[in-house]
Amino acid sequence: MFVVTTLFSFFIGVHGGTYQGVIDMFTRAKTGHVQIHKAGYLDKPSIYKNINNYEMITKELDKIPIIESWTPRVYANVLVFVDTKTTGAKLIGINPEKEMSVTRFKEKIKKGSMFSTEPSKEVIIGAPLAKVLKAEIGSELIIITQAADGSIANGIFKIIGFAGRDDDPSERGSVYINIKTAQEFLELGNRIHEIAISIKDQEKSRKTALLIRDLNLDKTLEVSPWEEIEKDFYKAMQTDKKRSVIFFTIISLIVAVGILNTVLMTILERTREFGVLKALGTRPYHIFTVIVLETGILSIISAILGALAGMAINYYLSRHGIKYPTPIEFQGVLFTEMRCIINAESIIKPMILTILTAVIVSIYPAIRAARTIPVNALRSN
Amino acid sequence: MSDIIKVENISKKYISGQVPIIALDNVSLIIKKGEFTAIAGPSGSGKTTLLNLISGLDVPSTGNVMLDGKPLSNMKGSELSDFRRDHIGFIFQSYNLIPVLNVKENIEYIMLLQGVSEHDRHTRVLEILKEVGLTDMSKRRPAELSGGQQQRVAVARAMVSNPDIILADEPTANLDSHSAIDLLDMMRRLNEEKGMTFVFSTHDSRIMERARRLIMLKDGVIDKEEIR
Ligand SMILES: Nc1ncnc2c1ncn2[C@@H]1O[C@H](COP(=O)(O)OP(=O)(O)O)[C@@H](O)[C@H]1O
Ligand SMILES: [Mg+2]
Repeated sequence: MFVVTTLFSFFIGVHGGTYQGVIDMFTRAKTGHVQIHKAGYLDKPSIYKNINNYEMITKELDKIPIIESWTPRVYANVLVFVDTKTTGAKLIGINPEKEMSVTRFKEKIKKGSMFSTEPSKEVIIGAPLAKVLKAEIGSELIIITQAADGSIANGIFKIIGFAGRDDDPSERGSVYINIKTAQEFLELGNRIHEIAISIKDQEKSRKTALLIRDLNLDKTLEVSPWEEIEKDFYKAMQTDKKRSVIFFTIISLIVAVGILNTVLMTILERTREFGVLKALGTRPYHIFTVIVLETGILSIISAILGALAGMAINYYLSRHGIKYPTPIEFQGVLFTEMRCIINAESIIKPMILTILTAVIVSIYPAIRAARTIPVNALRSN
Repeated sequence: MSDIIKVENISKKYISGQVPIIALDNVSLIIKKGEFTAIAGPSGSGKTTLLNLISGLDVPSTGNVMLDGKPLSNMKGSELSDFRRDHIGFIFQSYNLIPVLNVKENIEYIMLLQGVSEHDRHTRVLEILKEVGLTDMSKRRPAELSGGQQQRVAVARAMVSNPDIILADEPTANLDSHSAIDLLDMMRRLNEEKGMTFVFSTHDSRIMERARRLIMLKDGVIDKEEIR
């Protein structure tokens, strides 16, 4: 029972850790946990659907304890040129310092260097885009687009780095640039398109979104948790979760059978002992209670020890993780190691399962032992 | 003397496989208070079956067992348990002491079920340990005792609450002949001094000799009977 509880706790820990890891990797790659836009921006992005005066909003965000950090972003669809090569791309204006407090932007830069702190004409482009444009670090990038005032904006920028892997679809059209430079280039003034927010407890993304919504900062704004922003990804996670419900049901059954076996064995082993008690005049009810109580106590002890052991393993693996032999890709995010989490689920579920099964399983043999006298067991040696 | 046990035409049939085995065939028998009776017979003659039916551990296929004028067949569940607890003492061939309890606790167990106060239990256990000559052993576990000593504990346990009758199924079968005769002599002494009623089974002729009444079983029927 002890081993079974530990294993089950460990399974939940691994599963939860993986699930959480996927979400963490994903949200930390780009979206953050919650985003604020002008209403309708997500459905149909446009340079004109922008947020005025975003500092007023972020001042309020700073007062919410669960919010870890936020970062402003500007987007525009642009045409880019390197020499004679040209393609469409997405200009992403970021505040490098703030961006790194929400996402792992720096880790994305696989080649070249990070932005300098002051606004400049530097750009970092997605590695797949660089391939298309046959661009090198140091190449000049010409960007043409329509600015917010309707005029045609064009400028020459310098490529200082590549973001993401060569085959990363999410970086196929990315051109990162300092947000101040972007605002100037696009004639946006101080307006932005998005505030991406990271929170301390990733499971509370929806709650936080509601919390921000309830601040009623600006009726024309829309607050969305990542589950709404990345619907496809979220759906994939949900299907995965459904699959794991089946998986856990099967594991639970195996666990239950294991416990059934242990309990039956312990009670059967003592058939003669209970028989003697019964023969001496112990009441049936008393025998029943003794068996069920004993099993209950035994299973509670096993469950506690098992959960503790499971917690220890999960804790160790939440700190150190185990490297996968080959990285695993899920929804465009790459995983290199397995980590566990310790959550209430990985402690409570295995305990409840163990104790409940043990007690339920003991009822039938307990009734039997209470009712019938095992004359044959008493007979001989 | 009053009848403690009245066995009326009991039979016991076991169905194992195709052929039914008739372990007891229409046996009738009366045991009176204060008797020291041996049920003797070769292995398979039905001794255990008879004792189990008398004690209500098993139920007869036909016939009736009356204990103190009450038919056992009318009792069940807690009533039967309480009846066993208050009126019958048991001694098993393989001792069947509770391994996790020490000698004192094993002897106390029935009084515990009866709700006897701790003080009374203590006095009674000391008294009974003296009877069976195990005063120094009260703290030991069964595993730390010899077979003969364990069976003495079993005798003590059986008689601790002054049952009307003590039933013993081959109490000496697992003992060497010396301890066997010692045990029997002790039982006989308790019978004579305290008036305890004993019914025990055996297939050992030297044990049979010590009985005052001898019932010979053969193939499930009473073959002959002697009173000495
Ligand atoms: N549970 C049982 N199932 C089938 N046959 C049994 C069972 N118990 C006893 N018997 C048979 O009943 C007969 C009497 O057995 P038993 O009362 O144990 O005799 P004894 O105690 O004199 O050796 C034997 O033939 C034995 O094989
Ligand atoms: Mg026998």
